[in-house]
Amino acid sequence: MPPGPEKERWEAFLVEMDRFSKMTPKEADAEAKKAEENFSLAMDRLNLLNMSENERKAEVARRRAEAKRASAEFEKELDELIGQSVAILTEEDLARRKDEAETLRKITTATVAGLADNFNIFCEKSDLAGMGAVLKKAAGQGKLGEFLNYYGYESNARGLNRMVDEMIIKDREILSDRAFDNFLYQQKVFSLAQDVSCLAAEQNQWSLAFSVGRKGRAWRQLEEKDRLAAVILEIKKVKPQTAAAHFGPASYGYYIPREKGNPAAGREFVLGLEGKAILALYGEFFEKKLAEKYFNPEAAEALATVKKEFFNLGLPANFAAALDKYLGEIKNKPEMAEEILVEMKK
Amino acid sequence: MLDFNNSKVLEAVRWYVEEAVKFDLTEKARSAALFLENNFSAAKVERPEDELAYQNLLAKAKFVSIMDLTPGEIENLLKNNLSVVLGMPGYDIWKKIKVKLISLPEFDGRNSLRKTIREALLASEQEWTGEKIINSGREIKGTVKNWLMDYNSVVGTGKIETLKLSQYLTNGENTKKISQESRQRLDYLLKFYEKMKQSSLDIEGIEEATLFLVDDELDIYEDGIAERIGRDIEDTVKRLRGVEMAREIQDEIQAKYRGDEAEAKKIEAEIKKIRKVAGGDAKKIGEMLFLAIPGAGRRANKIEIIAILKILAESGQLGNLLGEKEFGEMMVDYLKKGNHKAELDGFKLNPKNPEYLGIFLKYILVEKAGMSEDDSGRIGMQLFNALASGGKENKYQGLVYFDLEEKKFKWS
Repeated sequence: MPPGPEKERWEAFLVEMDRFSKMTPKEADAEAKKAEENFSLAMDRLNLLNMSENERKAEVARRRAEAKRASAEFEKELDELIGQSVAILTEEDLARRKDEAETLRKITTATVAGLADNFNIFCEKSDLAGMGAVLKKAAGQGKLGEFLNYYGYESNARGLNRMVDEMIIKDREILSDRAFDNFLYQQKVFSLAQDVSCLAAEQNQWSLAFSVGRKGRAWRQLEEKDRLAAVILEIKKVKPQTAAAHFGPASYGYYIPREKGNPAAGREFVLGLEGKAILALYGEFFEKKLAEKYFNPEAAEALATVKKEFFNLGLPANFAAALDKYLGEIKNKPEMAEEILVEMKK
Repeated sequence: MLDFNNSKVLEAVRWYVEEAVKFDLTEKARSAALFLENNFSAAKVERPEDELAYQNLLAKAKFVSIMDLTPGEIENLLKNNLSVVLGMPGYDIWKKIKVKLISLPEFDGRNSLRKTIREALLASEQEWTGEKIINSGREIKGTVKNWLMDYNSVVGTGKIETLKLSQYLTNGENTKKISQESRQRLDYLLKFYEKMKQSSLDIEGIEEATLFLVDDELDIYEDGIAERIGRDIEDTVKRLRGVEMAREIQDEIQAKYRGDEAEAKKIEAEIKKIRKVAGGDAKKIGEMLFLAIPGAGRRANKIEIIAILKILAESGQLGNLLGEKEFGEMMVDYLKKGNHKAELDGFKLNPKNPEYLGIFLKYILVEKAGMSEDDSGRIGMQLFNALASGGKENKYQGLVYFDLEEKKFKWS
């Protein structure tokens, strides 16, 4: 075949086929599903582009109205469900808590891998109390972020909500013939998510805080803008001195795992909007605290990986340099420190 | 095995625990507490002051990782070691206990822990202030237990308003003469004690901060108080999200602008090849372009065309392209065939107008090299940027733009 676009396309096709043939059946299925979705979207877009401008405008308006109607229908359905379920919800929530407490007493492991083993068993049995107990144990130990990373999720409220949707609620649609049961189940799960999120928030893990909130009596997963507003209000209540010392990496952002189920592959720190808000609020004060060696060392290590993000945050010009200097200084440890560390890890 | 009589071991353990306390490093405190609990015993330590120091460090590590302790262990820690927290600046005992309470799923379990803590405090002989307390006419030590007894006898054991607590702290018979530091210590103790008197089933005792969405407003309910999120915070959020979204769009445009990495490498290789053959000879490069643009029925080599155009752009010669006879004629031919009469008249009058270079490049890249409008626009943008960075004023700005809605490059 002579060189040219067709040859390039053919070569690309062969590369793609080669990649496809190396996938596991599960990966290939997921890829095919994604391609199908992309194709439908592309066809839809093409259809829209082939329409005259007036037709296109009418179609877009029709779709918007449909989305609005669906949303209004959902709200109406939700209101009716809440009306029917106020008393039941309280009972169900108390029952869930009782079962959860019993399971919690039986969980002896505190490692992320050990907790994940338990979680997998409870997931398989659709045992909500069991799943709740594991999540609470992880969150109480300050390991909720690591736990989410273990399953391939980002260690933030978005990741928590995704895990809740995909692993706990699964495909229980509210707009269905089993609406009432599904709604009750969803509310129980969201109530659990509230506890878990609060445990993280009380440990200053702001990226995991306020994953859900209440509208009326019903729990809802929160939009990022509402979540962030609540987080900023809470952050502002903390004394800058305490923030400098006690805010760890999860106060400032979140981690993305490099590989699902393989913590050894490592994870990357991402500065979240809450972290940007903290640095914008206290950057100048923090620079002084770095010089005084009164800044959380784990946060300093995480922040040092995202220095390029400091631009536009209104941080003092020497903040990055102060951070590096601090990290260099805290390497100095007392003589026997390494031996003690080894003993403690045993 | 470590020698606990070695002063360097004590120094290192102290450093480790104090770091965990100062920076609230729960995981570190947890391992320190476990380590000391399993390895340290009074029998192994010869000097009493060292034994005391280790016990103090163990208590500190336990206070930081109090979440791990059972109610019984918490009771012992508070009863026998509460004054240790006085040497832990920034340590917030209520915040720590709150985590423990939230981790208990059942409200009865939470209330039971509150009761246990209350009783531990009321039984604690730990010294809290240096000042003594006058009780029934006699002086007694300023212990946790004695201060709480005095407090209860003055204000009562029921629900106490913050105002009443403040009045006790400033006007109480025993409190009015104490130092400011002791008053702060008492404030810390009494506020914690009051929290332990609440019930997790009462509205002010709910441990979890909850966000309520009320119409267009956001309220946070915490510790029995509702607080509305102000406009200033909403503005901060808008600003932060706005910057983030702008940056995401910018990243997306930049990624699109760079295009496919494999193609860019091929273009770079072609540029090197052409430069080797033609050197800096502009005439020769022009001829190469003319030959690379195919006539009817012949397939174009897109990579070669782009590479030549880039060389011409980088040397600034692209701007004069339509001044060359063969390209000028090609342009006239294209405008005639396409029945672009207005453009044809305009081009004849002012062939150096940048607008015509835009029309010509689009014609070459789309119709001759077979590129899409989006892709050709991307290359067009790269060419105009190269021309502008060659020191010429950017008179080509706006000839290609990025349509944010469709996320495509477009020719004006």
